[in-house]
Amino acid sequence: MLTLAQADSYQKEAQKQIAATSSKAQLLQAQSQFIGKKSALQNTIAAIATLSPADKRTHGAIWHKILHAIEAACEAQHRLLDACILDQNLRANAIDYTLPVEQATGGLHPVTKTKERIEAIFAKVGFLVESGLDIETEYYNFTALNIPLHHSARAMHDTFYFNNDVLLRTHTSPVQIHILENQAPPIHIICSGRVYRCDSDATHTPMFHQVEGLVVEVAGRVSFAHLKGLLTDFLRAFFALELPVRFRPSYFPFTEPSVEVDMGCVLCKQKGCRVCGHTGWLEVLGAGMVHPNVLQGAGLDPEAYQGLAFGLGVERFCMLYYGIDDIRTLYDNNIHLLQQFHAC
Amino acid sequence: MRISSNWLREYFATPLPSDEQLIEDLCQSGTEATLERDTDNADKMWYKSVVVATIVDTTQHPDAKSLQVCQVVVGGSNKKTIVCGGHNARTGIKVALAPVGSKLPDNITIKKTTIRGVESQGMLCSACELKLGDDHDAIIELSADAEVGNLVADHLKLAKSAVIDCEILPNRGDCLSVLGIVRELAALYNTSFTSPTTNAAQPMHDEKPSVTVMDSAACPLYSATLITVDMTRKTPDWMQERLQASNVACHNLVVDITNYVMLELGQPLHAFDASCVTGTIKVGWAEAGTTVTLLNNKTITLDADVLTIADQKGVIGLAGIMGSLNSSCTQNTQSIILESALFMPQAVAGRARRYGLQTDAATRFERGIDAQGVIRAAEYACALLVSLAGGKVGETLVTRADRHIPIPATITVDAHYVNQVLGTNYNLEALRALLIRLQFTCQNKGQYLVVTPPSYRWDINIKEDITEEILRLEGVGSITTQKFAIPVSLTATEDRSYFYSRISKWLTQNFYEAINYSFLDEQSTSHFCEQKPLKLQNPIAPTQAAMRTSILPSLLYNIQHNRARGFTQELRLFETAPVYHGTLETLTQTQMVAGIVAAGKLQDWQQPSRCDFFWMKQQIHSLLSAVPLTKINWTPAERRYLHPSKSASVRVQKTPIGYIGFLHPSISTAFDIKEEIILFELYLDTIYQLQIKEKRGHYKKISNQPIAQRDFAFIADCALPFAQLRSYIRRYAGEDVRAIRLFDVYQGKPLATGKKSLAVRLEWQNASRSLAESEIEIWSHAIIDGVAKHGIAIRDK
Repeated sequence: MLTLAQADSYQKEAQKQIAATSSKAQLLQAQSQFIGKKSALQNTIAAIATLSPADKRTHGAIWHKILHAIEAACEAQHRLLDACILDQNLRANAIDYTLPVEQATGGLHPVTKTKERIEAIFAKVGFLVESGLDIETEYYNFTALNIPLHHSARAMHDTFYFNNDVLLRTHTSPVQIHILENQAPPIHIICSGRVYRCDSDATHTPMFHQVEGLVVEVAGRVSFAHLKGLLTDFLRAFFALELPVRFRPSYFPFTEPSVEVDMGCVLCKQKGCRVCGHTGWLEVLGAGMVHPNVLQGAGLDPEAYQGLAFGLGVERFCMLYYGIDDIRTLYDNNIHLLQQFHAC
Repeated sequence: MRISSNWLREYFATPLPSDEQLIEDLCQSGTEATLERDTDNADKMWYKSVVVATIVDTTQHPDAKSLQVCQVVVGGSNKKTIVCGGHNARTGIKVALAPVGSKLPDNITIKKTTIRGVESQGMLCSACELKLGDDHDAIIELSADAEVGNLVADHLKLAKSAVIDCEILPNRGDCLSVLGIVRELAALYNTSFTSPTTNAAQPMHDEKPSVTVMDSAACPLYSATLITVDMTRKTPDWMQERLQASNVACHNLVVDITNYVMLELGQPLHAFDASCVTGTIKVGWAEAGTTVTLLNNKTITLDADVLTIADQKGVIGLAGIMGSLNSSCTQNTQSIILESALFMPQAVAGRARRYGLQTDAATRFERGIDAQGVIRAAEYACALLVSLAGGKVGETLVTRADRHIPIPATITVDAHYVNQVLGTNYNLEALRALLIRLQFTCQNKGQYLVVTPPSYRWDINIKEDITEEILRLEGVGSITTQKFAIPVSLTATEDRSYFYSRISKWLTQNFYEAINYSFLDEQSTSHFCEQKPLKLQNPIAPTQAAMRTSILPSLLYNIQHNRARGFTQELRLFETAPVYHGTLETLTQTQMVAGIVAAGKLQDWQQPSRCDFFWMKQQIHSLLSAVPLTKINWTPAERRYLHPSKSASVRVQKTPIGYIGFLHPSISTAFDIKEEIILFELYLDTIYQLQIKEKRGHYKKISNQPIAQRDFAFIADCALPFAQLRSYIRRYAGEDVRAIRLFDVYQGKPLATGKKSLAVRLEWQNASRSLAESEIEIWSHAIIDGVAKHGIAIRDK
């Protein structure tokens, strides 16, 4: 039997002991001690019936309030202990999250990544991407491009032949002719693909990749000034740098005027290094206005139409972009090289 | 072509800019040029830093008997203290001082050092240290007139002229000479130049050769002069130095003079030993099969399209390419026949290459030489032979066919056209002024200019060429860039190249992309295709001679390569590339993608091997559904490079689109591969075409009705394909069956040998109502009875 004077301390003691329990067994024991059938509190509550009506009310209110408070404390402690037990169980089966997984399971070849980056830049401004065939005839590879038999420019290309007429294309430029024969201006295309030359050393592989661009419009709509703008923008977009770009007059049989395009060396920031031959400049593009003989050969009137064309070697861009120093490593397909390049 | 800078500068009265500026300006006008100085050589770097100094005081080193402490003056009153071991170091002499920072031969850099307690601010050099002689005990004593502070190399006049190395474009044969580069510079700097005077030597005897030109279209101009020479004389140093600067080897005085004239004027000359030439010289086409031994000791057999110089006895030279050995000038030569001729490009081009004889002469004739310079070059050479070789010249015999001598084109051009192409704003007068700098003759004709280039400019034929000249002279930098916009055109179908790229990207989830050459050895292609591959006529090596009929052998080589490099894990590679089938007449180029998984030795700790048929099948299914393609069928592969039973052909309806399977062990053996290989190949062209026709985005309404399930275990012969069982089930299971899922395959006890159990869960669902238990019961019985007709039993129940 408890007296009213003990009420407050009973509740505090109960709550303190309940909160101190660390297992279900302890909690159940404390629960039975303070609010169990044989507990002092229950005995006291049972005895309320014997009191006067006035005392019944006051005592009843007080002791039931205490009972509810202790019950709530038990319930809260049950939830707390359940959570602890769950947590302990979960922690008991820990995984070693430092165990390795394959960092990447595949990737694109750096040359493909470069080619796609180039294509994407031109596609964004409206160029369509075309493709051509690797095995070509003398006509499409040379003659139609204003490179007649015995022209000294043929000496620039060390060509792989199947017979006197059929060969592996030495550049992607034959695609220009196929397009001009099959499509009416305006033409805005780029074409990329494999090209071949009998050359194999530290800076040449017998197969490599080119991207070719061709624009043909009604005369007066496209000029050399546009070519200069387009290629300057392209180089800056590709390398994501405000590069210095310069154009040097050059010679290609299928363009007139012809230029070669140099950009400031991205490796040494034009201070001079081995890659740029200590000149600070890298030759990266060939370009020019489409030669009238090329247009004429494809049945277009060179007085009525004008065009620009450009070509680049994908490997060179790839090597400069990723800092690869030997072209031959690109075609070993060594997994340690391939694993360095991601899928997208 | 390499030219000594001094030689170029001799032509100009007004001084030219620095060598650095010259090469920069040449580059900007289309002649790529680089500069070579002898100070680029590590052993001559000191030329730029070692200076003349005077010793003003010497004292004995306090701590070393053999050393002296010298005070030297390099100019002004600034003294330097140098510790020196040279026994001849004494007050008053002029010495060579290498200040701190100088780079001496043998990679030595002079640093401030303390030698036994005394600081030395440089070094007094011995002849040996500068590689000027062998003396290493004494320091160099310079003559009293050496000016203190000047470079020692300048005082000793050691530095040679810088050499400008020009890369001449194939259409600019006119630049293959000193004169040619001089003309370019004169035009660039808008200045004039003086050529060396070449007065024709007066004939000193009246003997002259006799010449017949058989084809004057091939050789419109031929001059021959008989000259007696004194071969005991030596080529003067200045000439040797210039020849060497141009990388032309010195032979004997006569040959050196002909080379010198060619370098200076661009006209190749040839000197025959007159005593070896019998009768009339004939310029004509070779008789096929004739053999001749050339100057370089090489004997070749001539084709009928080679132009030759011959005498009564036979061929004495290939016109414009090289002379014969037996008619060449030697130390014993007493008189020569000097040839200066115009051989047309079409009569020379390609022949030198064919015989591996790319000579300086051939390079020039192939590109076209100046018809107006032929006789002048002969005269210049005669004058040099007279003055340097004690030559006595005869009358020059000239055979010419004027109608075949090329005449420069007459080109009409207007400012509008030039501006339209270049995006510029020139008026006619400005164009005229630029063209005149290039020695073009210009006549105004209303709004047009009528332009005639000089005789040496074979490359100027049409108005576009004129436009290029304007661009060259003004520099591309002078053109203001413009932006141009392409009107966008939209298409409904995906471009082929994007499609291929999408497939590649999909594959990178599990494969690394390889890129291989399109050609390899014929033997390896034979395993994958019965047809003979296309073969290159001129491969670099037999291992690169046959065009690929399949990508697979290249990927196998890649596996080999990586294993040889010690990579032991699983390898997964793919390649997207064309393959080539048929003969040259029936040639097809097909775009393919092929992939390969090589099991490797080291397994990942957790990832199951992908070298597994069903992993690969899942990859292909998943790829095809992403394409998208449906209605995929699998049939036997029947490819001899695939495992006969662990392989399949994949089809869209009946069209084959590729193969998957394990590599046949005999192929692994042929490629020396000792691990399991599984592979796939897909015809991308076919897939591209099929997916265009595939219906897209067709939505089927989802049912909310409950799904009924029932599991069955079928016992069938091991040989029964699951696809067959599934088609039976589908036949009897009613129209509401929505899925037939295989969840277990079992062989072994208690099943009879040759039998397997296939556990299948069926799901039924109706679009609009709940299915009754009784309906499922009916269908189940129908299935059990149905498959029983095909010898398939039910395991339990």
